[in-house]
Amino acid sequence: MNRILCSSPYIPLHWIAAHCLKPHFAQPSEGCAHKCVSRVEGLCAYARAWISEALMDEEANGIVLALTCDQMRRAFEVLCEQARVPCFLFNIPATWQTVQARRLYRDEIRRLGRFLVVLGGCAPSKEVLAEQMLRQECTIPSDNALAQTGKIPLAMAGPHGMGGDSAWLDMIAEAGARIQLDCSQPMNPVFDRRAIVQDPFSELADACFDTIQDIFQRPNSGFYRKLDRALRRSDIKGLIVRRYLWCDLWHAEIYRLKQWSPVPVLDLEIGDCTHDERHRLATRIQSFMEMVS
Amino acid sequence: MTDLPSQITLDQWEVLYPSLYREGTVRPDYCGPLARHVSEGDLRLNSLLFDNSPAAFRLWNFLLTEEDRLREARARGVRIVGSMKDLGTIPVMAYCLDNLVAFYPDGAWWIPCIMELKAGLLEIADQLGVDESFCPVRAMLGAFVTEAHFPIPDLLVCSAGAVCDDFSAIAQRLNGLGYSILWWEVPHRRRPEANEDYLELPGGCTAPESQVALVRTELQRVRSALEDLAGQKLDEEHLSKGIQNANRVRSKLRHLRTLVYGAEVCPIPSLEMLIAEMLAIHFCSDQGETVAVLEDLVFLAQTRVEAGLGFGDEETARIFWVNPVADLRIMNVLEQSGGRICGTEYMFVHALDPIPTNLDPIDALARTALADPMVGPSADRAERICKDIQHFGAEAVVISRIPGASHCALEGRVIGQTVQDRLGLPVLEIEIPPLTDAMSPAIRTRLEALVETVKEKR
Repeated sequence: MNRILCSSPYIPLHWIAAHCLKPHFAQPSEGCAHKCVSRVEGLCAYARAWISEALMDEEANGIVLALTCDQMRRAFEVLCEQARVPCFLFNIPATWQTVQARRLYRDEIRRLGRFLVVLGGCAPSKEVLAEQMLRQECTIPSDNALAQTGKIPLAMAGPHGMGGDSAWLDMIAEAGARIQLDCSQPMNPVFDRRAIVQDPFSELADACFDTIQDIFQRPNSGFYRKLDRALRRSDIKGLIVRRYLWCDLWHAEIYRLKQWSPVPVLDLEIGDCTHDERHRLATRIQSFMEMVS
Repeated sequence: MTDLPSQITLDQWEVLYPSLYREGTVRPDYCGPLARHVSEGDLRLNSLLFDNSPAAFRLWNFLLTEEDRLREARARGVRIVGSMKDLGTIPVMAYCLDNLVAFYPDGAWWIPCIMELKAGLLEIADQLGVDESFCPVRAMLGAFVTEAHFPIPDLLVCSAGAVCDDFSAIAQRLNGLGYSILWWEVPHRRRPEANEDYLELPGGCTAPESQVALVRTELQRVRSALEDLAGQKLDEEHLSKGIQNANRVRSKLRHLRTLVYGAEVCPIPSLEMLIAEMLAIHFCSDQGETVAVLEDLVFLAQTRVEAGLGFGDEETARIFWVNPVADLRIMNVLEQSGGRICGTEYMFVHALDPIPTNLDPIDALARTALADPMVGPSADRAERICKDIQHFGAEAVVISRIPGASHCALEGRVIGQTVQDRLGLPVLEIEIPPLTDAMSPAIRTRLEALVETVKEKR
């Protein structure tokens, strides 16, 4: 089955699967940068890693990149120029409070469908799409909580992570804490079974659109509401905001998050993953743990 | 006073000013000694070289008195719209109504340069967690906090979606500080798919019809907000008249650019041309006066071109400049390095192109907004740059990087590569911070090397 590489969980994976294609939400690993972006100054570490991952993936038959920030928008241009497979930019609206924003998201799903058909996918019937949605196979796993064995419960926020995040997650475990609440992972869409039967496409579009509560949205109050709800439900001792170097959208919010958060906040900036950086991250985590424990 | 063009210092302007005043050349009441702005903190004026014409003197006075105009407008009961990011579209709508005035708080990005970092705006941004890894537009945060550089707008409108991350993040922080913002979506302009309906945009590119429809609906929301603020109906007649007025400004600027950038000897220096081009985005808070200021400059350029007078000579290297500079002095440095400007793309070329007048006004404005070079792919921007380079006959390109700006990481590569592949011209990419004094020799050396390359290639 043709594999479609996706940059964001906000791209409806069920839709891709319903086209008889295999969606793969790629969480890139840092370190090995593709030569076309290895020396680009000011490029966000996540965008750099994602470009590299996509260009080095030999099994992908298509690339779908979500427009959630300017850096990824421009990463798409690099991919179009360098990739051996077709690329698609999914325009996720930054605004969310209007009918137009919802309509734009829905139109983009339809446009993605046309792209998938060109790649060899089959346009799904209502029944096929409904069946795919009911199967609940295309969910985004969150295993950070399972990977941690420490005692002090922490929450994490930030952009969707990279494969190499395990390094600093280990540091957290070594410092005696665990990530109990991972708010960097998106929520999986919750479908109304009756609505699926009546109009699966509309239900898919609406449910997926409603799961987007992210920092890139304007205003980003939805993200704060989501985080507030999550923090209230648990006995979290601290919040780690993991962000990538040159990501302005998260960087700019750190100060506000620190003012807003009911628990202490650690700003963890992930860059090039050198030995020095690991040392810096470990020190910051240890210091934070002393504060919250 | 001599009619020969030259670049003079602020002190020299102080000597010339009394005679200029006696001759009655300087008429508008906002004109006065430029040095008064230095005493108000605009220290960078001491380091700049100015064109010695009365037209340039009027231009500088017009620019430097904008804050006074905004405060006077408020005192008269005029409501103030702070338009952010779209650079050229929303003010056209606001100026359709006689009790609204619009400006770009984004313009605060030049305050650290003009006040040589003495205003403390960057320090305030630092304290709010927006450090030097962001574009100098972070000064806007400080300007809102201090309320010392412009009156706080009655309505803030900001485009979102296909915009740079720095600005979007900073505007959101402003929102977090309690400033209400009307966000409107501008989607990434994509190329139409096969069999997809598309529309022509000003400037020559196209966009899918669905994207134009989306922006049209978004602008209708802005229109309603402006109507509420003004307490007046913003009907088609008002909008059409407003578009005509904006087009008058754009037409004057096109004429000026053609005269100056196409002349054998450059009649107006690059610094004054940068300021003149900026007038297009929000008319420096007075649309009528903008036309008058530009008419003076056009007359000046015509007179000098006919007399064969100007700066440098026919051999001066013809440079196309991409992106605005955070330090205005660099435009002087270009001339000191043996170059002159022959074409620009300061990120608001869509504010220079005429707005279509044969369409429904909101449709025309939606197409204008989508024609923004920063909304589309860098490849489209590079295409337009190549077209303009050929139009003005430039021989080299300078891409000035804006420190920390999200678009600068990758766009320079695309633009530079396209220019080299298509036209075979030398390209120089340099980063210009708000104050370049410490690195001025290095920048000058690079510009001189570019000029030498141009001359060797001839």
